[in-house]
Amino acid sequence: MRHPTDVVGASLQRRLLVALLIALPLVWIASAAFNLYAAHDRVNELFDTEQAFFAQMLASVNLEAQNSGLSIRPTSPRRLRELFEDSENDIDDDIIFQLRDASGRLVLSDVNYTDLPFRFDAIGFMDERVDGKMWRLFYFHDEDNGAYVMVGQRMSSRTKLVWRLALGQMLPWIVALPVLFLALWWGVRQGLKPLSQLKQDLAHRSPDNLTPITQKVPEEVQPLVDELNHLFARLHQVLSKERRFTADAAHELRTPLAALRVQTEVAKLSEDEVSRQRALNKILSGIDRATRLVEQLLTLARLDHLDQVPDRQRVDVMTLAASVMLELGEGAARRGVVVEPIGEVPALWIEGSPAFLSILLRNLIDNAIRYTPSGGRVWIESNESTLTVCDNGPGVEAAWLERVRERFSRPEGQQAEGSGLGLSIVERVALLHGLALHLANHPQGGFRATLRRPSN
Amino acid sequence: MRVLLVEDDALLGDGLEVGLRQIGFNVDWMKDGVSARAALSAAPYDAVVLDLGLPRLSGLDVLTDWRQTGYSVPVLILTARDGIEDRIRGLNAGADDYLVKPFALGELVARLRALIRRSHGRANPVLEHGDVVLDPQAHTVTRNGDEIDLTAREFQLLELFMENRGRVLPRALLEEKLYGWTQELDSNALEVHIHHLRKKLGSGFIRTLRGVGYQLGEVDATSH
Repeated sequence: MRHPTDVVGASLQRRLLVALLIALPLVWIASAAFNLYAAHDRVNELFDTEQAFFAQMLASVNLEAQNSGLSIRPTSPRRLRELFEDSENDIDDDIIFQLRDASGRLVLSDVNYTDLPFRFDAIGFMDERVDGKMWRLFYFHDEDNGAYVMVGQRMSSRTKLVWRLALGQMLPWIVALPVLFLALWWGVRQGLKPLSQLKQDLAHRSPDNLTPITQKVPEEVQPLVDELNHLFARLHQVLSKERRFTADAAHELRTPLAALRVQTEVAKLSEDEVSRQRALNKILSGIDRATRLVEQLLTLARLDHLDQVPDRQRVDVMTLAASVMLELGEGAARRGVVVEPIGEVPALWIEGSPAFLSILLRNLIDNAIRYTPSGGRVWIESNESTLTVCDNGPGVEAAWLERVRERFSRPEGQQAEGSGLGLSIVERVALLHGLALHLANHPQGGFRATLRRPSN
Repeated sequence: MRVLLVEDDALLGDGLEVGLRQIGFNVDWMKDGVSARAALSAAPYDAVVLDLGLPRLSGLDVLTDWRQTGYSVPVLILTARDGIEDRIRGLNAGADDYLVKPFALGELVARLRALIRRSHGRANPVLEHGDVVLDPQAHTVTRNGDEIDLTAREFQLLELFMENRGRVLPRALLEEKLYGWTQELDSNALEVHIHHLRKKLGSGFIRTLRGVGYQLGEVDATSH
C-alpha cells in the first residue's frame, strides 16, 4: 500500500520535472529561431556592404588600360576573412563579378565566370534564381566613366554561414540543458525532503499522540501543517471529553452497585433487627437512586437517536413550567425550599414536543431545588423570548460552568444527590428544539438557567 | 484494629462503616480528601480504605501526601475505573492493594486483614500465644482446642495484644485503637475488659507494667 504523502510527493516532483522538460526545449527552440534570424540579418548586412564596396572599387578601374576579356580574381576583403577564417575558401569561390564599359562590352570578369544575365537598367540589390540557384546580385553604374558593374554571391554560402553562426551560439545550450535538468531534479528533491520526513513522522505516530507537529517544513506546506495541528488539538479535546465521560460513567454506575452490595452484606451480617432494617432501608434508597440514574440514561439514549422533534406542536412553555413547579413544589417544601408559583404571565409559545419540553423543565427546576439549601427559593422569570429558572442557592463554581453540561460531570464535593445527567438532558432537548441554553451565576448569588427561543 | 475509611459516596460509606464495625474493626469515616489527609496523624490507624474519586482533594493526592510525610500504614484503594492505568498509578503512589467497585465486603475485609498481617511481618493468618489460638477471620479464640466465649471488645483487645507480642502497649494507645472518635468510653472500661480477659485466659496472660502499660505475659505463665 502506498501512503498518500508518497503519491503527492512523487507526483509533485514528477510534474515539476515534466513541466521543465517541456518548457526548456520550447524556450530553446524559440531562442534558436531568434538567433538564426539575427545571424541571418547580420550576415546579409555584412555581405551586402562588401558587395557594394567591391562594386564601387571595380567601377573605378581604368577601363581603357585593361585588355578586353582579362579575368582577374578578386580577393575577399581582409575583414571578412578574419571573421570566418575556417570558411575562407567557400566564401571566396562564391563571389563573382562583371565589369562592362558604357557600350555594354564585358571588360572584366572573375575567373569562374558565371553566365548571369546582365541588367543595364538595374541599380542596387536584387535576388535572382539562375539555373535553380539563388543569387544575391548588386548592380552599379558609374556616371563618370560609364562603367556598369555587377557583384554577385551565392545565397547558399550566406545561409551556410548563418547556420554556422547560429549553431555556434546554441551549442552551449545543448550542453547546459541536461546539467540544468539534473540541478532542478536535485533541487526539487531537496526541497521536498521535509515532506517525506513529515510523512515518516506521521506514519510512525501512535494514535494517542496528538501533540502538534513542530518539524520545520517549507513555507508553502506550513498552512497544511498548521491545519493538521488544529485538527490534532480538536481531536485531543474530543478524545479527552470522551475519556472523561467513560471514567465518570464508570464511577457513577459502579459506585451505587458497590453501595448496594455492601449494604446487602451488612443486612445479612446484622444480628439485631434494628440494624437489619436500617440496612434494608439504605438498600431501598440506593435502588431508588439507581433507578433514577437508569431512567436518565435511557432518556439521554432516546434523545441521542433523535435528529428532530417528534410530535411537534405549539406548546406554551409557561403553562408547562407552571405545572412542573406545582408538581415539584411539595417535595421542595419538605426540604425547606420555596417554589414560587408562576403568576399571570404572557404565554411563551414554542414549536416542539410537550413531553420533551416537560422533561427539560423538570430537570432544570429539579436541579434548582436540589442545589438550593433549606430556606432558599426557586422561581421563574420570563419575557417574550426567554424563560429563566432562578434560585438563590450557592451557584456553580466558575471553573465548572462550562463542564456541567457534560455527561456525568458534577462539581466535586456535592452534598446533593444527582447523576450529573440532568443538564446534559436539558441541553440535548434544547438543541433539538433550537433553543439556546445559557447557564450563569447571578452577580447577587444564585444560579440562572436561561432558555432562549430562536428569533424568527 | 482501627481503620480509616475515606469514601465520598454516602450510601457506600455508610455500608462500609457499619459493615466493618460489625466484623470487629474500629472505623472512622472521612468524606473528603482534605479531612482524610489530616485524619491519619490524629490516631494510630492499622489500615486505610481510600476511595480515589474524592471531592476537594483526590485520593491519589492524599496518598502521595501521606507517603511523602512518611506514613507507612497499609492503604487499600477503591476505584470505580476499570482502566489498568488507574490502579498502576495508585500502586505507584504507595497503595498496598486495590479493589475495583463493586466488590464484596468479605473480600475487602480479607484483604484488609492480610495487609495488617503483613505490616506486622506475619504470614500466618492465625495468631498463637502458648495454647491460645485466635483466628481473626473466623472470629474465634480457642485454648487447648476449647472455644472461649469473648465479647466483641474483649476479642479486639486480645487481638491487639497477640498482634503485638513482646511489645508494651501504653494504655492511651489501647484506648485509641479500641475506640473511634464518635464512641464514648468511661475511664475504667479498659481495666474492666482486661480483668475479664484475665479471668477467661488466666491471670498471668496479661501483665500490667504500672505507669507504662500492658504486655502479653510469658508463655509459661499462661499454662498454669
